[in-house]
Amino acid sequence: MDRGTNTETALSNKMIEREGATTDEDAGLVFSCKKGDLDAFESLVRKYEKKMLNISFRIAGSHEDACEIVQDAFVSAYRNIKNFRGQSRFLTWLTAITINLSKNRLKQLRARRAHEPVSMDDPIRTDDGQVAADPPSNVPSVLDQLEKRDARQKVQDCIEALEPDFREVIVLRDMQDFSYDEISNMLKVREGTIKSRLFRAREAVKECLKRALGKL
Amino acid sequence: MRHNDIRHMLSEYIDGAVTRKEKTEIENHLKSCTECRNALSELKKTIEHIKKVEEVDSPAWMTQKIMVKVRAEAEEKRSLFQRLFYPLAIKLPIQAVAVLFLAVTAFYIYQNINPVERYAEAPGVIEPKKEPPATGLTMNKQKIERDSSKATKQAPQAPGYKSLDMKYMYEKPKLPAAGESKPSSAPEKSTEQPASEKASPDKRERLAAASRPTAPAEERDLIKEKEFAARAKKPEEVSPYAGAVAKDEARGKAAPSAASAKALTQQEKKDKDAILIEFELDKIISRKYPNGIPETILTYRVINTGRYKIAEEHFTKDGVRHGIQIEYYDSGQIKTKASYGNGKLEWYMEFNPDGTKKTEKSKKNWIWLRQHPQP
Repeated sequence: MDRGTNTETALSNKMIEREGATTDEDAGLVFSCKKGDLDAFESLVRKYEKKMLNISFRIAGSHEDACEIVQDAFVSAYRNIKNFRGQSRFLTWLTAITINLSKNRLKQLRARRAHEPVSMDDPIRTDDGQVAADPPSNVPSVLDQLEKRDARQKVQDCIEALEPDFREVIVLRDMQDFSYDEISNMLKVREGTIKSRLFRAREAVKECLKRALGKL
Repeated sequence: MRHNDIRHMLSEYIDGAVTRKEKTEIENHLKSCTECRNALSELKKTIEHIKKVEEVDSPAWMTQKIMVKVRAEAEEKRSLFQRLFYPLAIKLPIQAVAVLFLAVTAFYIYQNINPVERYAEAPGVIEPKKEPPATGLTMNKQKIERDSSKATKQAPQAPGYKSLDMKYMYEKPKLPAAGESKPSSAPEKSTEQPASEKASPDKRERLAAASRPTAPAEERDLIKEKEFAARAKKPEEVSPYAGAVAKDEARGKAAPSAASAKALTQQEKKDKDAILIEFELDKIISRKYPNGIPETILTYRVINTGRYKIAEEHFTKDGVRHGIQIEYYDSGQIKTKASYGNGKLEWYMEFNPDGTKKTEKSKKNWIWLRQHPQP
């Protein structure tokens, strides 16, 4: 990846974010939505449903769940659009809703899974976001299983193996290209914390991929 | 910056989220540090891998499904709104009817408390200007006033008779049929005699004599009915008021009858007496129709030796109030002038004691509020 291009993109993202609502390309549609224009809202749905589905899918981990989460997110957005003051981009606001719903769903799933036997097909998540060594068993280890899958699936598995707090910054920054400032707004955490989490998350994925692929 | 710091900043460096100074420092360090260079390279490759992860497509039905839910939500919102606020076409007539109803109700309430109406309808109640504290005396007095007003209402000289004022002070005047009032009033007087023990017979004669010169010469058929409220020892003899009440069995509950008056406490008797003896009234029918119905009734207040005309009332031959009715101050000045047409009040005027017309609207009950002259 060209370092210069990357830097420029990030800086422009930051500039856009600082300019705030004035540069929100969706301001017109949002204005119509506030007046009860359902067609305008449908336009926003069409524009962002795929993005929201991917964010939700990467965080919640299940396509089926993600579909439900995205529907709920848009309904919630419609219900609360009058409270949206345009202090951030509409996309930022919508993403924050989606992430909250996804994390809630994830908590529910984890609570449910806590009472179920551990599945050997999934990587074992640890507190530091690493994939833990498989307990001794006759079945093939997680890494062995990872090797059998293709590289993309392995990357996905490594991302899924991260703790939600680390996973969401990877998804938002590296997969969805949100700026640090936007991510900070969405997650309501300081930008320094975002940088720190992102560093640790990337390192974790790097180690995971090294083990899964043998080399980067 | 140390090696470790730079190592931790490589992630930010890739994103360009470092200052120019930090960037320079990092780049200088990278030239000399192989470990950091490798770490940077690995990080970049990792990010590339992450970015290569394919996006999932949203199902074809997704938009439709979302919009179905959103429309349902909008519908629910709207129906709630409609329940609270009907469209103008429905809302306006409902509001108009409500406003009309309120206006009509308010008008009727206002009519009921209109002073003119009070004047026409209210019984003549004399109340002292200064309200006494709410004692047993007050309660009794109010009761008496109420009862006496009933008595006068039920005992007019003719059907529909209403005295202008001071009703409770006198017994209902008997329907004065021509030639029979004298004999009829005689026994009354005889029964009243013990009741008016305190007023000396001489005084009464003087009062009667004093009334004659004041009575106008046009009194063709002068029948005089004297009604003296008198201090009495026995409740039965307390006053014509008590007698009238005793006759009226239907109101046995509301007003104490002669028999039930016995049950009154001593304090109550005293209270009643105290009110009734304050002054005396003299009522004179100055004109009569051939059928015996009074045409003109003059009412005088008798205080010691003084006689003060306080009311002049006119009636039709059917006994209905008709014509100009006048109330006087003790000074002889006209107090109120009211015109009745067949029992209905047509107009009235109020005057100050100095003869000037009252211009402002009467305050509530002003006409009945009069200070008792001290005998």
